[in-house]
Amino acid sequence: MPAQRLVFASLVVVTACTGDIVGPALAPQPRSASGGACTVQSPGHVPIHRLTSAEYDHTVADLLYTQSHPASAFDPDRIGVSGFSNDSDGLPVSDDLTTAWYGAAEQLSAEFLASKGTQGGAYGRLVTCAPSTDCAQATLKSLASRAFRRPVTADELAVLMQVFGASGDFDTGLSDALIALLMSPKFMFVTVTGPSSQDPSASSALDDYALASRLSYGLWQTMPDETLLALAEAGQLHDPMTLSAQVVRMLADSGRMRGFLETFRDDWVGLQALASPTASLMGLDDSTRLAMVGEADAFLSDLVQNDRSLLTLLTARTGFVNGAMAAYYGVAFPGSDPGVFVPMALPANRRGLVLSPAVLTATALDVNFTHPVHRGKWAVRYVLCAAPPPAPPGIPAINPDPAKGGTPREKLAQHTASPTCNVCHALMDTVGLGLENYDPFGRWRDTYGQGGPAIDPSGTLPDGESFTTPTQMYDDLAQDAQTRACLASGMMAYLLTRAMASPDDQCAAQQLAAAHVTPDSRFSELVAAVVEGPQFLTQTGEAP
Amino acid sequence: MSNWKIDRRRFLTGAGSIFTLPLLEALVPRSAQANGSADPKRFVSLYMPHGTYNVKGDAVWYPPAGPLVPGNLPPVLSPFGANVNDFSVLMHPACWAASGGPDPWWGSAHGNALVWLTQTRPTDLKASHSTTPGSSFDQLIAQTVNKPSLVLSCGMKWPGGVDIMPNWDCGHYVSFIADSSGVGQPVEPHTNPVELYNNMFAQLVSAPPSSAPQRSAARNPSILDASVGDIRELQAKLGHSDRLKLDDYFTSIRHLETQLASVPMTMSCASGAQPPDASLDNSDVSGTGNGTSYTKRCQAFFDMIALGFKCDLFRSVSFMYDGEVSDRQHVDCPPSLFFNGIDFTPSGMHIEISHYGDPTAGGRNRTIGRDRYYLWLMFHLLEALKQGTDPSGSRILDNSIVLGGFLVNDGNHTGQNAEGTPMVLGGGRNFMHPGNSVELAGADMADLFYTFSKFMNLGWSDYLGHKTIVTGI
Repeated sequence: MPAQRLVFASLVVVTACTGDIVGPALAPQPRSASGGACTVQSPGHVPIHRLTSAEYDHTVADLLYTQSHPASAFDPDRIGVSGFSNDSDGLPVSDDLTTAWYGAAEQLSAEFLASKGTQGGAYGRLVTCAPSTDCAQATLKSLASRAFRRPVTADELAVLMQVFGASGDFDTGLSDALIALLMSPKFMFVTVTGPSSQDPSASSALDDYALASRLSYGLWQTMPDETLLALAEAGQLHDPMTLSAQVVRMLADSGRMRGFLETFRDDWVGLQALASPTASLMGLDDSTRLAMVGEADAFLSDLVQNDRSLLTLLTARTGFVNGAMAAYYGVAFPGSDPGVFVPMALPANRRGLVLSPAVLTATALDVNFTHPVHRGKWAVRYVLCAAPPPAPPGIPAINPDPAKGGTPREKLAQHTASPTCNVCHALMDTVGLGLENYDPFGRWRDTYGQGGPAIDPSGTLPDGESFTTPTQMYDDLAQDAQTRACLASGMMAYLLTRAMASPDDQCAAQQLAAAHVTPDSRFSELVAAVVEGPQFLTQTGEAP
Repeated sequence: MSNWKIDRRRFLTGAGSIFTLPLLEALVPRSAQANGSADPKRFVSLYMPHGTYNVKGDAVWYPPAGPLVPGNLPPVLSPFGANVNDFSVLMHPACWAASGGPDPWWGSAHGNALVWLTQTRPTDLKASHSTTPGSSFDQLIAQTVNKPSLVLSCGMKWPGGVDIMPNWDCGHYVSFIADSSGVGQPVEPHTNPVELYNNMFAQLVSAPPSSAPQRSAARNPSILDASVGDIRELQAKLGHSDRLKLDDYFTSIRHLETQLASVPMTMSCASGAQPPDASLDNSDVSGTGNGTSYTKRCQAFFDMIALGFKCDLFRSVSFMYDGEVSDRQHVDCPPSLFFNGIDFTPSGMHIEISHYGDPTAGGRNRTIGRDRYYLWLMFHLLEALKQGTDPSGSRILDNSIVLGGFLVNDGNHTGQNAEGTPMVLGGGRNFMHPGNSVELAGADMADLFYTFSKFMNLGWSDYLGHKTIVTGI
């Protein structure tokens, strides 16, 4: 392939269709782009961030030592423009949610009081003095500083003491003040304020406490731990060496990284429907469904814990199987305990996570037939960061049954025939049809049903590169600068909790990709590069 | 699934015994898991008996496939942007039982009412009863879970035997129980909210104990005052869009304060429940009219559905809206639901709505307004189901399937021009994915019901021979 060929130039003319390509569409770049041609001018603005349900549960677990999951009663967080459910712009506040927050706050305060006298209970850990006004003040000062993720001010403490004093009873007063803390926007929202908060032309560095929160919610989905708060208090967190060391420490904490992995799995990989504990459909028995999800979990966990390149999502030749998945692949289980996932060389027709049964099942849309457009749309959005606009209204659905009216390739030919359709569908259909060798449950097939038409996955990507197999297609995509920039952009979007939409964001993503999304790069290097970048460390203001 | 047959008399007797038993909270399962998997699952059908307007090139019901976006909803749904987390829109379903095929023209109002829950084609529309083979879906659920199905009608059948469709005798029935010979016997719906409450709920409801604990923020207003103070303090330091988000929080805190001031905390499944207003006894209805209290009657029924679910009295419900006959009116419909400002609520608008009249004369606008009104009522039910929780702590709505829709895809009897019959699927977040516009591409309703049976863990091997799972919902 010519090294300087523009990649997917057709994407930029999609505006001729029915709308702009949405999401962080990246400008076409030469393959093997250095990423050094652009300069980030402005770090951008991270909107005020309401805690997600997962962040809420993790935070109250750390703050109050609870094992309950009160956020299970909250409205679900929807995936935002960034591609992740932690997108600050996609986290609304509603009457229902506030009512649910209040219910959770009451429940947690009741738990707090109920733990009084129990060994290791929250009450005993938080109230370390004999009941008195001074004791209440000391308790609330410590609790509020942790809840607000920075030292509480004298005025804030005075308000809490007013809440405490209203009942005239020590425990009731503490319980009331705890509810007030949990209902405060200073707890419920991660906020950055500073000298340039209301000036859209200026940017300023986050203070160490804000940086600690951004780091902690970015990687752990929870409040900063004692180490981060201590470094913030000492004013040391901005130090590059310190920051880098903290990233390494945090990534190594597999327990606290679990939320990151699950969100990445559910949002980016799209496995939420498969992974839900209440899922019971999809035509899969639960053991197989959960084994598929387990394979994805093992893959992602290995990627982080063993510090592999993010590119292995597309390129890995090694996967993870338990007994059920080995049987699903039709190979002998290489381990000793069939309940444990172990590494295994993937069959030749698999690559990374993108060609795993879990992803192929989750993106198939149907249990009876595959829908190439749907699979293609997922890949185009999450691998190439070029989500097409919604289909115009009134377009009849294509019958996915190959036995009725022809194969999907034959039916999708109508898109090619229509310039209006083709401008949006060319890439989606090409990629989707390239995955037709996998049935709705991700099993390999050569024909549509026994004795049915043969499947032809071949295609030509917009850069002119042709492929004849799905693995070849993803191998080609993995070499592409746009793919790599998209992966970097996704990591930035997740850690910054916002969409990567501006030219500055795209520039930063290209630079990151060139340096840290390569076959030999390390995941920790990519994360550290994001954390040490201007978008993470600084913030542009917003007009009041 | 195996065919089941139950004698109607035996059913009614059984239902009565359940309704008169005092509810023992000790019977509420305690082993439910946090994710709600052990909670009871329920089904509610909300049938809209006459046709709608959803024609080719003007599919006013259908959003783009994919996640519902509040600012990008079609005319019928546009007032409900705040509710998008609670429902999905099902596009292009098919009903082979009604149409004999995937033909978009699904037939007549009276015939399709019978098909809605039976998914079986009637054999004789003119008979007074017994025209439908087998039992309806709600009754099959009832038999499986060993609890009665609640059958409600808010308009198609009035007290005193007045049938608003006297020439089509079965038009007001949607729920059937197979008799010993397998013939579906229509179940008379409840039509009087006051009567239903007195028979089913009154004895379960006791006054809240005087010692019932008060919500903390109602006892100590400074709790939420502190939140408001913090909101204002933060807003002074933030930019415009961030301040707007905190404005939303401020508004919702005020809403919460109002709620807390009016709702005492209750401990029993039924304590604190309020009886419907005594005036909702159908005394305002006569002839083929639906009276002046239609809106409040529907809402009273919906509140009782929520209460019955909370107390686990039943797990399946069929409800029928009123029909578009000339004497119906919709008093209390918020004018904000009118489309293009056209008032559809006065009586005497059968042609203008059921047949959507001449579109240039506003029939389209009136039908859209009427459909919004139906949905507005439906969302009253969804909100009521949100208020109760199951043993796991999960909201009742999240364990409930609420299916609202039509079978007559084109009230103007020009079905060739229809874009398909829309359905709205509410609730069920613990096992469905509300918040989406779902292209069913001709999936059969019978398959949809089989899928529901799976969601509800009913253990059926098939539904009327159907075994296909409908995905994406």
